[in-house]
Amino acid sequence: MLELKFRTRRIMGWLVVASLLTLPSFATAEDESSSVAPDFTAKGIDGTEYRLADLLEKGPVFLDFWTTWCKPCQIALPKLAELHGKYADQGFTLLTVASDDQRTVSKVKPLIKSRKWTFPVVSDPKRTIGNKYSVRNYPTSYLISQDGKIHSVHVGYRPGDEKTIEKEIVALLPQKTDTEAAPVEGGSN
Amino acid sequence: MRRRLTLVALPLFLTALSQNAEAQLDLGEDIYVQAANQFEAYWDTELEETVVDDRLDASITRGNFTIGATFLSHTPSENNILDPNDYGSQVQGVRKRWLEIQANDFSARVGDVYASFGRGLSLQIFEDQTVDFDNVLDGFYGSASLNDWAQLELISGTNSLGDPYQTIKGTQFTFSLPRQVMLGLEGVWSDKMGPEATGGRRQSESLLGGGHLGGSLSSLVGSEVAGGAFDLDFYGEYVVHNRTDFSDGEIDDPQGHGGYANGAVYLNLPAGMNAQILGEYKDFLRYELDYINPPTAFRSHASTLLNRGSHVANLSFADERGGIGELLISLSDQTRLAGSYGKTNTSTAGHPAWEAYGEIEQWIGHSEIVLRMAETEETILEGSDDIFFERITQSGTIVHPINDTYSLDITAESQGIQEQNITARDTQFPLEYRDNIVSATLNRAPTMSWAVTYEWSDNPRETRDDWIWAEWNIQLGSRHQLLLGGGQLRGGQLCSGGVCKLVDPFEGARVEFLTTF
Repeated sequence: MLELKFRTRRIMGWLVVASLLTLPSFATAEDESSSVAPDFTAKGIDGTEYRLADLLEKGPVFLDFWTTWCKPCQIALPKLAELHGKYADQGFTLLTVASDDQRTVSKVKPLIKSRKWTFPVVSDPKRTIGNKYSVRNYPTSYLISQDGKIHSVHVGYRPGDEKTIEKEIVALLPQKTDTEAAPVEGGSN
Repeated sequence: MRRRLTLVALPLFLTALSQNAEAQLDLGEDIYVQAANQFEAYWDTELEETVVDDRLDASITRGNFTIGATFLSHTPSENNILDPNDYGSQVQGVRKRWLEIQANDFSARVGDVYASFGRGLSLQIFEDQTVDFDNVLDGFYGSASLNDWAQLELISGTNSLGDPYQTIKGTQFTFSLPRQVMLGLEGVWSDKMGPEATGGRRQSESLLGGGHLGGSLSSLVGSEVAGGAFDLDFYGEYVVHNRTDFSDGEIDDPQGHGGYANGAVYLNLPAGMNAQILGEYKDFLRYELDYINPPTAFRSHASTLLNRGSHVANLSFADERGGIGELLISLSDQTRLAGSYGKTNTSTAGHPAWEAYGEIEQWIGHSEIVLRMAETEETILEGSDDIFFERITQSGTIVHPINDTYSLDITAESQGIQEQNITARDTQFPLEYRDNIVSATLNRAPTMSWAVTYEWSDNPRETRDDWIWAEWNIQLGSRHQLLLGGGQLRGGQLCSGGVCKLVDPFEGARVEFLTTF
């Protein structure tokens, strides 16, 4: 019985620690970061060379790290593709980084072709770009504002996340007044 | 007590640090910090053990220079619990450190280095945190563009985390030939030492040499083949392996080799349909090396039951050949089909495996339904007996958005297994059992999700009939993720790419806190 009490107390103790950990995060839940997005140059699977700094000259960039074996990534990508199609003419770029390593890199292009995705895809089998951004899970995405700062980080994907992402993109589109900006349907939060 | 205080203080300090990320970054115009921290604590109520892990990856970049380090803390309540990477039972401190310079035409890194040559046939030094795999080298890696069409890579180092350790030196030339054809020449030398406990004697020396070639048909013959209706990508790599054994004198082993080829055909069909045909082939003989990780040329699954029974865990680089063919067809934007057939065999020992797999993906409105079915047969060597497995698996997933905020994700899997000891066939009856999993996740975008997984089995070897696990995943702002879980986990084989590990069963609670800043 004493042992049980000790175990319960220990578990409760750790739960308190876990709760404490969350407090400062809740306090800043709406904070946006302003880290500098590391620049890079990479060749797309279509042979085009993409440089982040060049894309940022046009407008914000949504940098999405994904893999062919990551199911949430493949649920997210069609939604992101819709945003790319909707805001590309306003300077927005969806740049996706296929992070499949040497073992599965051969599956990237067939997947892209089968889905008929037309957004830029760069292959990063050696995780050179991923390491610059400390990517540890897939999908992980960075919305980068035109001044090269990381506006927000999105780890994982839940259906509906694209509404929040769209709001963030619209807020960052260059030289658009509220009336000019494309309306955002629905919404979350 | 002091240790427990440290354990509490460390994650709190790191969390507080993440709140001050702005201050960390305000070091100058061209200085920035990248970091991620992962705190994990779990309590196994069955074994009455607790483990607290923390990992902090941080790097500081100024101009062309970056310096980075990884801090690891692994503190179990019992000394026999090794950390996930098997560094040891008690790990506290900086386990990796590196300095890197990147310029237009070259990059160099000293300290803990990673690299891969070709498709990983002759060298792949990498980390995969999904399965806690890391074969990092302590040494030097450099890459230089010699001109517009030639690149040189060099690596030299020792396996800094292992005992026995080995020294590895490698070089790769990559040439960009006309019409986007890539040619690579690669060579690797390694020297393996015995465990220090046995005197650290030299065990073996390996020398690898080979090359690879890849390109696409459209680049070779023009921008469009058959009016853009057809294209083909190809890749091939072959490496020979010469090994000298020093354990009993100096004996040259018979030459081994590793071969890999793949092709992908893209077809644009009428009425907006398209099809892709992929083929992969492998051939390994006397090719057992610690620092390679080539493509498996066998299907790697994402679903739990298929993953557990995958042949990928039993790849034999000593003797294995075979391949996989895969067909992807998009009938429309709403309907896609995928099918594959993989088969491997050996030239001597004879442990075959094959798998047929089919998948239908259908969108109905905003809901996605995926149905999968697979049949797998495999014979593996357990001890001195050949064990035959036949697995028939059905699996289905539905992702249904309830409204703009909430969505439901349900997956059900069922696998019937027949197992027979072929060696003792006359005295042992086949064993038949069925494993089942149902999991449901309710997502509330973009902040949290709740998941429940229920698994049951009539496998007579299991100590229990069912397992239930619940998880609560919370996104805290744009930088933090908290995961709270509790219940029972069955464990079993977990594979990521070509690397597999056996996960122990678990009963208890778990907290994970991830911060990116």
